[in-house]
Amino acid sequence: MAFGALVLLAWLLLAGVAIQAARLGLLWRHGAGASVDWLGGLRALPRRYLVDVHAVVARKPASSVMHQAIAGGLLAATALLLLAAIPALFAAALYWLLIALAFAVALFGAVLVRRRRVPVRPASLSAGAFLTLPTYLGAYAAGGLIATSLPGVAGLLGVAVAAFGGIGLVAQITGGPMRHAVAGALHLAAHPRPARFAGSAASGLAPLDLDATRLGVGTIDDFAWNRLLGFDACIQCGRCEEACPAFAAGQPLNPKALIQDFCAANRKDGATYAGSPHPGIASPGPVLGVLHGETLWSCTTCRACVAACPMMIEHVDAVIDIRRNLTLEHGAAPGKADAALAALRYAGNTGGFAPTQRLDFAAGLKLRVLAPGEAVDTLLWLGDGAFDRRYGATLRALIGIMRAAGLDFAVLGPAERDCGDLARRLGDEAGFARLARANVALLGTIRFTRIVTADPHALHVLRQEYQAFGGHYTVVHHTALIDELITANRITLGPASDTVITYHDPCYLGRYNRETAAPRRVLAHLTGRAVEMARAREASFCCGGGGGAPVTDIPGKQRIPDLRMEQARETGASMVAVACPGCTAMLEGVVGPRPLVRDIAELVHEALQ
Amino acid sequence: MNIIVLLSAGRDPHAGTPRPVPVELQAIALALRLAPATTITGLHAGEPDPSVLDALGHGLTTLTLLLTNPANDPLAALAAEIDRARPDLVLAGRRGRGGTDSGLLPYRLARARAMPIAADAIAIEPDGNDLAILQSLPRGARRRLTLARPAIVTIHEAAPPARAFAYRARRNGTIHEKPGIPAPSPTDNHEIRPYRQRPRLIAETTQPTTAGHLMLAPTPETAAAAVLAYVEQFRRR
Amino acid sequence: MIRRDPRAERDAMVVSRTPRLRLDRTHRGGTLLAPAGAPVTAPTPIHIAEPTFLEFAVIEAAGGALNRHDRQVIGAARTLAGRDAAVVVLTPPLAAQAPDAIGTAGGDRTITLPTPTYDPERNAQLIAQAIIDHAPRHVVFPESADGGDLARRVAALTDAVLFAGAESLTPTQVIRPAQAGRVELRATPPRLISIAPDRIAPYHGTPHAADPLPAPDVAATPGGIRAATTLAVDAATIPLDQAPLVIAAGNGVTDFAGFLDLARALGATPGASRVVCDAGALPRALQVGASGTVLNAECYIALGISGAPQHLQGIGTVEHIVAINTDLHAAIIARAGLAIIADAQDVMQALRAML
Repeated sequence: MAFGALVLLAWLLLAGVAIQAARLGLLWRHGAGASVDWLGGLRALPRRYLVDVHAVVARKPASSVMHQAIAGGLLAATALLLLAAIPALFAAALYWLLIALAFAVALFGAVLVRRRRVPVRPASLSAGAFLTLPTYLGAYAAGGLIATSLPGVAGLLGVAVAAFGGIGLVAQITGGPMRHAVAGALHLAAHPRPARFAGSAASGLAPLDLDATRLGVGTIDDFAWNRLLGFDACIQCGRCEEACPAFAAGQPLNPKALIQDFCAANRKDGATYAGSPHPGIASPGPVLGVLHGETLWSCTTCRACVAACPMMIEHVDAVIDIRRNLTLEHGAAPGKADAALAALRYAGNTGGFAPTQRLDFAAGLKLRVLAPGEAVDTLLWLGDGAFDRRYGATLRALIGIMRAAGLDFAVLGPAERDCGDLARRLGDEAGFARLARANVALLGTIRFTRIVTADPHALHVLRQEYQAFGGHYTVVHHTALIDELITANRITLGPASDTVITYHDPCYLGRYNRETAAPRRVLAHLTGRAVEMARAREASFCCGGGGGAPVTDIPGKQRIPDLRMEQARETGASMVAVACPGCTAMLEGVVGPRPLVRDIAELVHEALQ
Repeated sequence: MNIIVLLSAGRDPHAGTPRPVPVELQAIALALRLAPATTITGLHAGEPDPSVLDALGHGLTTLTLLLTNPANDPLAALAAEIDRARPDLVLAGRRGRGGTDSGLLPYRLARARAMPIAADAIAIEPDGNDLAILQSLPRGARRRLTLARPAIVTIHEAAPPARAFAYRARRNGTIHEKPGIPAPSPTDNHEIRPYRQRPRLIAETTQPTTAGHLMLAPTPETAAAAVLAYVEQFRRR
Repeated sequence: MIRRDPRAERDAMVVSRTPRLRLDRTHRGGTLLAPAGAPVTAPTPIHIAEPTFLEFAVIEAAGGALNRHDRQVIGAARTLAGRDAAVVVLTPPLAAQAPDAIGTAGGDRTITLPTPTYDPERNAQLIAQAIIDHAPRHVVFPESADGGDLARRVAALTDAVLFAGAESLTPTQVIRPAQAGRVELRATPPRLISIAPDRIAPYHGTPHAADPLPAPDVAATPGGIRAATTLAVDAATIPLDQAPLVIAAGNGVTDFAGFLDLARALGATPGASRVVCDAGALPRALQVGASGTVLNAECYIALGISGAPQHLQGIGTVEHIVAINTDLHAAIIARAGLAIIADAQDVMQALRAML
């Protein structure tokens, strides 16, 4: 009797899930069209879930156990119940023992879910519907366990308890935490950035049709439907909030709240969000009817939130989509953004310098400047750091290393334009496209085997984002080049020092391009006492210099570089090794006593023998 | 209020590329404080220079181009268009940046059309049938003028900032092209050379005795006296 | 072809005639200080009774006294006039002792423009009439705010080209920047010239005797400028990027009310370092630096500011810097014209006590 009722309940719940999923589907249909490879996506789904998702989930072992128990137990028990409609299975006592076991695991999981917020709810976890979730989970699991293990009225009572829990869970698919299960699974299949899975570093932004009637995202419906789906996959676990440097600095951006703002904007019933807000700013704001511009301009595009998200949500893509609308349609980029974009538009560099000044740092070095039609093995891409007197020292050190190794290299000199990183992150896609086309055309007039650059932003743009403009290049970061030169014995370094050095991963090298090993190998040649900050490699904490944040300059309670320098201090290091002009400028801008800031190229150049 | 903003072909001072003259973009922003965008027209005599077209990205919605050879004197073409359009106010930047940069044209136009002219405005308000102009003077000083309409007013760099560039507006702006009036430029027999930086005069008064001085741990009073001696000449006169 | 006039060129190079003739053959514009050992007995003023021709110098003489730029304008006219021509200085009414100043600056005649209030339209008419009356070879104006405005009015009125903002001037050649400062135009001096500030040397030679000439007679006509009032300036409200004198507080300052008091007493516009703004001690609008306001001040006083790179970017064009800091090795110390190694808070209090 109870067994039959339980099977029926499972089938009714499945129907309920289908109806709820359809209701969600209607919401996602508001979104703009997107081409989705459904077949490939569905085929890749198990792997994306079991490998990519769980790799992220497993960074917090307790959460991993919790999720495996509750999701595994719940899904296994329900799937087995559904199959119990087959008479042969329904009749097998061992089969029901298996179901009972699955419910027991789920019950254990439900207890773990409850423990996340009871007795103390961490600040990064949401309240609201999440507080009733353990009750429904527990009821469904406990009810199922009772129904499968106790006879008679007790068993039927179990079915009733399971029904209460199950209906509660199904109801939470549209308006509560269980939405993530349905949306999450579909999001993995229909992901807007399918190339990012399986260890790939694909992180480039997609170009924009500049002739479109609407540029970027100006209303919630301008997001592609699978982006809306992705936002609904959010389980509000708060990992993005913990990872976000802007949130940590008290700037008005909480990536978790941002995603929930999008979910709210796509619904008439509005906000049910019960987690930490965007610091220091009252919601809702005017952008998409939910957000403030300051929230979007606080983002450093460091992708820490994206890397931390177990649901594979692409926060940064969404931020840039809206920035594109704000900048291209409304000229609304704040602070010194308009001045920087104008400098890029008219002078081809972020500082508005005369193009010839790009080589001022190399006075006396007699750099070979390539003319159209000429060929070289290694093209040294100087980047806009060349205009900065401080960073010129790094470039001179790098040139010294390349010369010591006897490399055949040259520069573009005054013809080089900024790669367009700043324009693109500030949403000026028209400006970026102009710079990209000019640089791709320029690179087409010369021959080279590879590009070396000390600027991870240029590396990322040249390597990943020029492809859409017809530029396909082998781009090597200077730390990778140095690593290669050491391994090949093209340069020899003196004995390692005993300076305590910690390495700060640039976001655009470590997270965007997954290059974290080469700089550490080089550092191991320089010091016997390399130490790691708590946040390193893919989990590195931004210097605050990305995404145009230094020009939009949204105030917070603290400054991001100060926070990062504090993390460096905690390691006891007397020196922070960097590998990016932006990081150098931001970390050297920290006032007061602090570890020295040196680029790896400078340290290697000093150690050359 | 019917407003014309005079636009000139500007050049980026460092890169030499076509770039709008910043103070003309500030003039557009001032015009937009006075009148709706539909009653504001940009006016340029010459070629459709990209620097002039880019002004459309800064809040201007309509641009009239009087097509003439850029080497020509634009005065006759502009004067004829002002006669036709009968603006209440003509705004211009205090100086161009990319041509002869003499700042003379607005004055010649004022003379040609018998309109009053005022220079270096940072704020403009209607005042009955007149205009109330706030003029920027050196060292942060200000002068308030009352000017009869219609008038020509040049805008100072200290005016409120220009509107930020918006790509959409630049693309959507309306451009009216009309034939200009060919006229030879006033003869000026000059020779053009690349600019050479010349040292500024080192004036007697800016050479305090303490220049380049380093005082190690003086008493606060000695230090304060040295500071006052150094700063004296820069204090409000 | 430009015809050269060696004598006039040599005159142009005169830096001083007393106590001995000194020439600046490089003619780089930079003049030397007035000779310290000036003769004790005043030399007889040079009197040009019968000038071969006339040169006009139109000066601003704000407040009835000559400023640096005015003296440079007269110096430029003197250069153009040489020894035998007379410089006619067109000026608003001067304070009592100032006519001497005209002669000292190299002027031979004075025309006082009888314009009681700010009326550039009327002044332009008077100057245009004076040009008709006296037919000067050149008219030199200061390329200042009001001087530049007047020069253009006169140019429009007389239908002449203005050689605006000359940076170099000899009797045979004037040079000014054009095309966004990327080129320079060189020409034989045309009738109307305005000179950029601090480019053309003032006259340091033997004083001339300046005699008054009658003002031009033009009937006054109502102009388009109906009223003008100059507003009182409060240093505290000048936008930071326009302020001539800025005093800024950094880490080394603890008493911010006292700091603002000092700024007021000094007539300086207050600013602050980023750290101070971050801490909320002074408003964000006061922040000096790359991410705050970039200054165009003549003088900057840094109290307890070490000079982070971004801060120094904000004062890149400031010529005169006073730095008060406890750290001898702070970046701002190297940048300062007057560097004081002391506690900024103490010096601040001493300054307040003195003012």
